Amino acid sequence: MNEKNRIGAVIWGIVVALVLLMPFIMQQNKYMMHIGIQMSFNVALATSMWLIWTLGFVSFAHAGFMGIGAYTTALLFLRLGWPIWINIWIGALLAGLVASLISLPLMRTRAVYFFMASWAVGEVIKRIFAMFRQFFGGWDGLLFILPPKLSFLGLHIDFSSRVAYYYLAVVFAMMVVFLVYRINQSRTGTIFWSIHEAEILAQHVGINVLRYKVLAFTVACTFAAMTGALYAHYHTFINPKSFDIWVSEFALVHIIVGGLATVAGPVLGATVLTAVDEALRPTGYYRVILFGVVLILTVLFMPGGLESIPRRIRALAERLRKNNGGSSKDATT
Amino acid sequence: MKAFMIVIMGGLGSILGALIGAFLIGFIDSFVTTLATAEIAYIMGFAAVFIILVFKPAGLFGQEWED
Repeated sequence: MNEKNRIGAVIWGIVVALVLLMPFIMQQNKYMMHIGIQMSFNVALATSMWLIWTLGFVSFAHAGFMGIGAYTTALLFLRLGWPIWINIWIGALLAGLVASLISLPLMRTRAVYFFMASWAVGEVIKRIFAMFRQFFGGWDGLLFILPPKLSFLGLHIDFSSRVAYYYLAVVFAMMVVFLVYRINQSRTGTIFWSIHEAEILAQHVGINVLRYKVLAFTVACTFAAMTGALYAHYHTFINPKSFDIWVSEFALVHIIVGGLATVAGPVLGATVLTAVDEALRPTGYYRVILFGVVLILTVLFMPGGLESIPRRIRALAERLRKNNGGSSKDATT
Repeated sequence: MKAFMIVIMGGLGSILGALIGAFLIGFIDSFVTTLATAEIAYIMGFAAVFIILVFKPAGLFGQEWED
């Protein structure tokens, strides 16, 4: 167990170092930096969605809460001129408040019905942004959300450069992954999994199921809102279409392809699929088809997702070694 | 997409539920579109689905799921 933990820590360390050195490896290529930022957003979204999944739910309201964060930040920036460093927390707070209020009735539903109800929540949030033309800008959205600047201890960083924003997004994604990992390791995470496995049993053991459901939903939606804030300032433009159901759906595909058992799953799935998606961009609409094909193939042939590959390789090597050992023994006797 | 909404709202595996759900969504859509705007009609439709699922977690005529 300890050995395994150490190997895991080494792998995570290598990944973090590689990610932090990526701008120098890529020679600050702007397009590559763009993909890196996109990946960080997707990783943060998929990981926070996976936190809801540990309860056994698939929330399609995620894009809506991302929208709440993005719109709060954008409006405060455009109307009041506040910097993102304050707005992102206000957006997260607001989204957390809305999420905790909405999850009280929402968590009564189960399985397919939860999927439908959460979809309704996400869609209503999006439509509300579209409805108030004066305040939210309607379908046209909000323009000119400039990238932030940071002046701190004599340090001046202008985040309109891709490399600086890459570091901002990557550090944020790492923070989300780390926090979700810690939550998952803690007692609370164990309770989440117990609700996932047997909700009625958990209730009988004395766990306040509703409270933990609300907690998980709120935390995940807060992370989604913070992702949305960074998204708004990166694209400098948002409209309700940026937060429709497809965003949640892609996050779901990322999780399923990556694997559902540990936090490595969403990270791996989001990274790999974003890269594949970008590589297929010249083919136009085929990339949407590919998402379906990849999802079906994963479910059929690799139910554990991408994260199960090392285990599969190890099992295969074990089997090969056993076969070899067996045959050599046969030869000697 | 709307069909899926209706089926889930009526309760999976219930024809009567699908019928009633279809009527409900259809009426909300047409009435609110004439009285207000199409945007509000969309929101009202989803809000109706949400409220029904909250108060009847298995849909209008669906059986309770035992898992």
